[in-house]
Amino acid sequence: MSQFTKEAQDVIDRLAAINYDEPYWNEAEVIKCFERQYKLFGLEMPKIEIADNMLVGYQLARDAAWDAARRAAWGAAQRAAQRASQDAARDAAWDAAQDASRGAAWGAARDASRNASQDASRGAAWDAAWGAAQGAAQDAASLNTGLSDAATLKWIDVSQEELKALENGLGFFFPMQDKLILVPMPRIIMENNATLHYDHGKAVEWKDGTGFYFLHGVKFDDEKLYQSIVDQTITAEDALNIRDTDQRMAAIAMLRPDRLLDQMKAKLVHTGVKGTKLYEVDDFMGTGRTEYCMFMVDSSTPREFIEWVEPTIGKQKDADLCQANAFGIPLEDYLLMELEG
Amino acid sequence: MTKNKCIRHGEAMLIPVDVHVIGKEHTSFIVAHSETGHHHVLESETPFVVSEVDKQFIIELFEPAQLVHKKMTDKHKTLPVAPGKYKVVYKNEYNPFLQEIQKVLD
Repeated sequence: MSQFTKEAQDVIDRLAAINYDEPYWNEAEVIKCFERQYKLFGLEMPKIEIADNMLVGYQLARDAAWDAARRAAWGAAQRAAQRASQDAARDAAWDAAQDASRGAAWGAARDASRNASQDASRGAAWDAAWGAAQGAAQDAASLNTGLSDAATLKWIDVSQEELKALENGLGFFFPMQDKLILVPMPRIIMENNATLHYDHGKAVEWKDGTGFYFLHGVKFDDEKLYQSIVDQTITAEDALNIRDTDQRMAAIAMLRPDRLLDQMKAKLVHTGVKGTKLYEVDDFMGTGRTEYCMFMVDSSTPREFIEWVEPTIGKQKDADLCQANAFGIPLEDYLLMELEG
Repeated sequence: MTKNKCIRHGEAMLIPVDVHVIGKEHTSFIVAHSETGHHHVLESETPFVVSEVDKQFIIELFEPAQLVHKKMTDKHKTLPVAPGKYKVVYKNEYNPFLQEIQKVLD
């Protein structure tokens, strides 16, 4: 039996179905969602401002005062929901909804924007940005508690409007005291369904071209550096000398296996019966350590890749032993294996 | 003693075992979850039994099944799996930067 109520699962499914690769901005529908939401709060709809991208959104928010009514209304509804005793049910649905809505990527994109507009994001503007996906996730969380008190039901209705707005292309919004700032959803390109990554341009990009470069979840502000990595023109030495640790790791991970082996001056020490090649790398990354890696060609596709080997196994210089050890099986069982895909 | 051999599919491997299997019946079971959502799925028209003990899966097939990679491109080929009992193991790799063992992400 599912741990989620039908209603909560419905929200989670709708979040998972949202197309982040090609978001469609339906401004009229998004505004209607907020008109209904403000009506639920008993608040007058403020002036709407549409920001082309998150940087502009933050700049607009900088000059706006905090929406005291927002804090009162949101805070009251949120506190009511938080008083619910079914914390575990709520939290489980929240987590699932965040996963479905790629919450980590959203957070990274929002933080990237905030950091980029640091001068503009002082005071109330810092925390004013609210992700549409976060609001929708609240919907799932509240629905999963099964509570039916007035405050929770109101919270659910409020969050439902954010889900609809998200489905119509809303990315972020700033509910300020005298205006509502709306930011369309950027195109978001990810790997692993949660890590911002794109090697053909900006992983986060709004229609006006504003955006950010990410590789394996790491932001690159230096476009030239990013380009040298994706073009494979960067040397292993230059990659190793990148000061930012995360960027350095991302750059090294992007290097083509054969180039990486060549630039690390890796020595072939053994070729296994199934074609795995074992390489020895002396003074790995200047550490003084000797490391070992297997170079493999996938048996189903032309993909080449490298997997590193624990040194105590690698120094036995048997590629097949390294493979067997990686799977935790005896060498003889690995050698008897006939089917691979 | 089983005569089946190990079967590798991506970063998952089915290893023949000779144990008593008690568990739930399935006709489709995700053997290995992929980080990209392209899972490795064991499929059969005839139900098979899967037990989970200490987060390890043991599978008993009564009829032939297939290991399928649910992906459109760059996919692992579909492999036939003969009837028998198997445990599922996952490949680990060493991270030379952190100097620790981690699970291989497919």
